Amino acid sequence: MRLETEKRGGTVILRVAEPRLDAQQAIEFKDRFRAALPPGARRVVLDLAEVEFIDSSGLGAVVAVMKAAGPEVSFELAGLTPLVAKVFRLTRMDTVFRIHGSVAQALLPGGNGAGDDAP
Amino acid sequence: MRPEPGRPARHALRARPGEVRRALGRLRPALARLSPPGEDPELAEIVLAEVLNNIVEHAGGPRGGARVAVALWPAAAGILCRVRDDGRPLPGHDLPAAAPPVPASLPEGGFGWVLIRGLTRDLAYRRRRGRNELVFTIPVTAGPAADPVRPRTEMVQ
Repeated sequence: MRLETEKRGGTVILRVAEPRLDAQQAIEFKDRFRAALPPGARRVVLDLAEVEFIDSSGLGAVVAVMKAAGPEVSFELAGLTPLVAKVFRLTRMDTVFRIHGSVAQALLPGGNGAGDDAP
Repeated sequence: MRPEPGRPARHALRARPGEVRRALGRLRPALARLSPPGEDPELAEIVLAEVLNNIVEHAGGPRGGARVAVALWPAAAGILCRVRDDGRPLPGHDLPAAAPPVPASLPEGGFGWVLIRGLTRDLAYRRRRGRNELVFTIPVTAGPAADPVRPRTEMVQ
């Protein structure tokens, strides 16, 4: 399970460099996330652009790491592929995350707060 | 090329954690073949992943995991699927009541049946001869018909 970390200004980007976030990966993903999150981070963008397949365990793991990041961290998602976006919609979990079309969009001025719903 | 009518694609596995991903890999060509052009076979793969993971997590069964048999048929309405296993029956010998987790409570589980119901039609369960049998159709027009929630955002690649 590869999770790559990059700091851009005040934002920590965590990129899931795996094609699948499924039951087999979920526990390791949670462990890797906790280890990769720098102390004191205020804003985290989880980049899912490489994830082509997610199941309910993978979705649960994304919720778990948001909770693990803590309430003081703005936890956001970016780059959902069509299938991953569909899983979030069907479970209505798209309503609890700030979701950006891409990391680039998340880093635009105003990207912090506007989500990608802004025209 | 579609398989002959009435002739299913079959796969058997033991319900163990590592086996689900392997089984899905084996079933992927059949799912791609049975999905119409332009349709995303991964939607069908999600359904089977949830069904198989449920069996791994809950069905118990004989030493080494429940014995599971998956069969897929082409059907006018989509892909007809039957999954049998010799693990424990579903509680109450019935499908779980549809109570999707409340998003605002930040649930970490309980999504499996939501996805199965959301991506299938004519879902039916029965316990027969000491085995569980789940039958459902994965619609071929899995676009708007199977996805009642309109996308709120367009994904920018």
